[in-house]
Amino acid sequence: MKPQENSIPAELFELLEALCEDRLSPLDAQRLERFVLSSPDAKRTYLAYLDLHGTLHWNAAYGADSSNFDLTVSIPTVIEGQDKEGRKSFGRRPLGLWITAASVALVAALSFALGRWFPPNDSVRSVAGTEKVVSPLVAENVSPTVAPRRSNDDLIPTNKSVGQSVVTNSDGGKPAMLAKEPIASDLTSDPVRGTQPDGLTSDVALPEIGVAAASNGAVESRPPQAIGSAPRSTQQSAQRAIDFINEHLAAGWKLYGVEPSPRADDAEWLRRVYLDVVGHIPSVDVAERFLNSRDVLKREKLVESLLDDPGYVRNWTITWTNLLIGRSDSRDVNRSALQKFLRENFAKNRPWNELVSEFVSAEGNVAENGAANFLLAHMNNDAMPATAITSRVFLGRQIGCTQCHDHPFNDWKQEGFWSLNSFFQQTTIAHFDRRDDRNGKMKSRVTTLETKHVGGPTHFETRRGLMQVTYPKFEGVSVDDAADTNRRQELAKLMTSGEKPLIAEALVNRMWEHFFGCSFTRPVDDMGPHNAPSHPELLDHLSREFVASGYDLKQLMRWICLSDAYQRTSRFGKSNEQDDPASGAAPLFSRVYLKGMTAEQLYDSLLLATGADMTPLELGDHDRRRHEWLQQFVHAFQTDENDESVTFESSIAQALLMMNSELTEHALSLDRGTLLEKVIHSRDAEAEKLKRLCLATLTRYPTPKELQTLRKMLNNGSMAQRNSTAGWQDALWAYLNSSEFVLVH
Amino acid sequence: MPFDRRTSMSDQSNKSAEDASSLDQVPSAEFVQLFTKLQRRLFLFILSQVGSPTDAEEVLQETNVIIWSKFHQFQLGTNFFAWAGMIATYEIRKFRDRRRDHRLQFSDDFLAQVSEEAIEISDELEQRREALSDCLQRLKPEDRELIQARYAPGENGLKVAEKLGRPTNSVYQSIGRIRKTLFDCVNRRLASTARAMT
Repeated sequence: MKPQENSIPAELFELLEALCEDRLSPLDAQRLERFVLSSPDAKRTYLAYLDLHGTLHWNAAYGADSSNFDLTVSIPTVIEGQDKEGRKSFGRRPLGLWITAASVALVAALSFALGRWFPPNDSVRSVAGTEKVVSPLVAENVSPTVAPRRSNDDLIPTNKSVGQSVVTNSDGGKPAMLAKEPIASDLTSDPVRGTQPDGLTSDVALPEIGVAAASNGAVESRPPQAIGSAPRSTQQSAQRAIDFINEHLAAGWKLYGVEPSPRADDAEWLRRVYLDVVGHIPSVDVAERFLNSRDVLKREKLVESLLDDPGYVRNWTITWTNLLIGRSDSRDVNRSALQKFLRENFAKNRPWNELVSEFVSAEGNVAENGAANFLLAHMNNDAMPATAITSRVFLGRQIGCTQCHDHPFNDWKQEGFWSLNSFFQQTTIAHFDRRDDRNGKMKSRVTTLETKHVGGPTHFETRRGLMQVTYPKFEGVSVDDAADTNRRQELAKLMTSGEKPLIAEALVNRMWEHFFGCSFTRPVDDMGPHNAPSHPELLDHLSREFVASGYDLKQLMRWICLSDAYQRTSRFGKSNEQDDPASGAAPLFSRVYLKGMTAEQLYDSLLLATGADMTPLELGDHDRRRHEWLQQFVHAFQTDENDESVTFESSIAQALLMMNSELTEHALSLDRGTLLEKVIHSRDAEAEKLKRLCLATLTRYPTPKELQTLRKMLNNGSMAQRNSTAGWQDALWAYLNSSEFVLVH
Repeated sequence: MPFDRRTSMSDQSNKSAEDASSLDQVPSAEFVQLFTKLQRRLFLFILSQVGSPTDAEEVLQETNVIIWSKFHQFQLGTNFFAWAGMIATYEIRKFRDRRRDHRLQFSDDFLAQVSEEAIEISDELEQRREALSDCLQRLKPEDRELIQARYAPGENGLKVAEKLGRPTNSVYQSIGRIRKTLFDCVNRRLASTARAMT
């Protein structure tokens, strides 16, 4: 009857311990669940352990003898009242909590129901049950599938036929930037020769490109061209890196007998590259122009212009803010200072090793040195989160669990965790109130990250209860533990030096995942000998090239965006259906895998597509509003890695959440400046109007079948109902609710 | 003492109409006694499905409200725990629905399996609870002190660490080690009882 002690893995006890101390992350909870359901012994161990925990809790609070149990403790005054009335009056919780809980539950119930239709993001077949993801929906499937959100702050006015738009940089009221649209032209004018207000013809407005795509297989090949401002050597090295990617991936396809997917059409590719590089879908103007351009190098030129687009800075600022401090706010962490730091550095294309070094060694007032907010956010709990997250985010190594025991599968020992932790031992957080010099009144609270001059070892306890000591040591290199050593500066040096430090490999892996929807190792941040990458040579080569390029982030993105594989469609056929990482297979990158939009991408794309941001209501601080809006979906946990969860990371749920929000109400309104207002009031023919809706939301023209269905819908019913505003709203709503809208494909 | 699955909540609500006339009754002394005696068991039953003692207390309170309001539906002589457990199961579900954002979201399958097993081995769990008090006495004094500090109402590992001025991690590890010691001790005692009986 009793659990067989020997057959119970130590990890189950680790998870149970985490549960007892309320430190279980959502991921851990899933693992615990799998464990418990895996065997009868595990199930009993779980029950017995929790029973022990609960008994200790109960006995301490109410006494071991239940008959002494004080009725008044647990039984409320409801006794006299009847059910429902009584329930409300009872309880320790404030009424507000009930209301919050109820509203969360409502939303959650919706997302749950939808989540079922929408399995993991990679499988094409999972989307709306059709083989084709790319041209699905609307017509066949007007029922909600997935919805959008849009990402960055810089909003390119959808309906402007102008090449420039003024973007106010939200936080901190920084200078307004002039956002030049990569390719913008008047929708209705000649796409090739449309004259821009700045006097450039549209073709000229396309920046010249440094590198031509190398091609392979089914993708038509192009003569290499080198034009533009990049030095010739950079172009050549870029070409070499791209060639290497192409050859290497093609070899894999051959080896596994896989025929890669064909080249994506321009519409699919345009939308993807926009979302990936600048974080939102392209505007109608951009789309029309790109689709109508006959320039054979238009893809290469677009990549170049996107890398210089203000959206690039915004997109990567959001991405790295989320990775570094998460989406939830915490006291003292100055999010806008961190974002300012990131913005300035991404705008300069600061080398990655220097950025890592800044984050690891940052000191001072966190309002002035934005980089210091990374560690500030994770210094709780003896800097255990700082240790684990520094390793995971920058080194791609998950060492969180080694704080308690040696890692079962890789080289990380428990001591390794604590010797890395030892680098943070001198770090402290200080607060003081800054007073106004004139009247001596308190002006503001200042938070600083400081380095105490203390030395000596770090202590930790082994599982056997022995106290151990360790010293600052990274990758086998020890650092003097004297008080006058600045340990974090030493760590920054160690992390960023060498021919191919871990930070290079980790970044390449992460970037690859960002663009292809799958990294060389899964998870992206759990690299190491225990988890062999799918393409070790490619990863190694790219990491070395990345270091050789001077840790040039844009260069790395250029290689990936111009690779042959990235030009291909996300659709797949019989010949490469086996290349499906969602099913557990190693990725071959014979197609680009689907990914769901992030919350930010969805928000920004929705606003951009519908023009909802152009109305007076939406003017102002876009970043801040998006951040506030997101807070309702984010929940932070004080676990070892300060995890947080976003209620809707799966796309369908997001869509629904948004569809039920004020935001969408506004997006579907006829307020001045919205897409719908312009479409309905234009004198275009019905088909033309529908085309515009489709282009604005899905970056493509509607299929004949969609047109037919939507027109039927618009002209249904009595004379009075025909062509009504409601009909148009339904049409737009249907497009926004398609899985095609919320996926990056 | 498995649940009587044939009795559903809806059956009970139908019955409540007939019983409406008896609403002015107060629970019998026997009912109160059963109710009181089973509080801990009910709490532990709920805990195995919600994972956190504070959440379990909340659900227990809600369950108690229902139990109390429906006392007239309970027939003395039938299995009180089965009846109350069913109400608890219902309240657990409601709690989960309300707390979808909570990080601990066990699946339906998990809840079903765990609650079934909890009832299956409920006698063994009772024995374990008795053995536990002996095992507590056998702890080293400093370990006993630490675990008592940890389980004092309103406490947790984090707060204890702060009070003791010890690194959080090392306190977590110590508490975990003591819990595991107790767990093993209970296992051994049950095994020896089982041997003694055969």
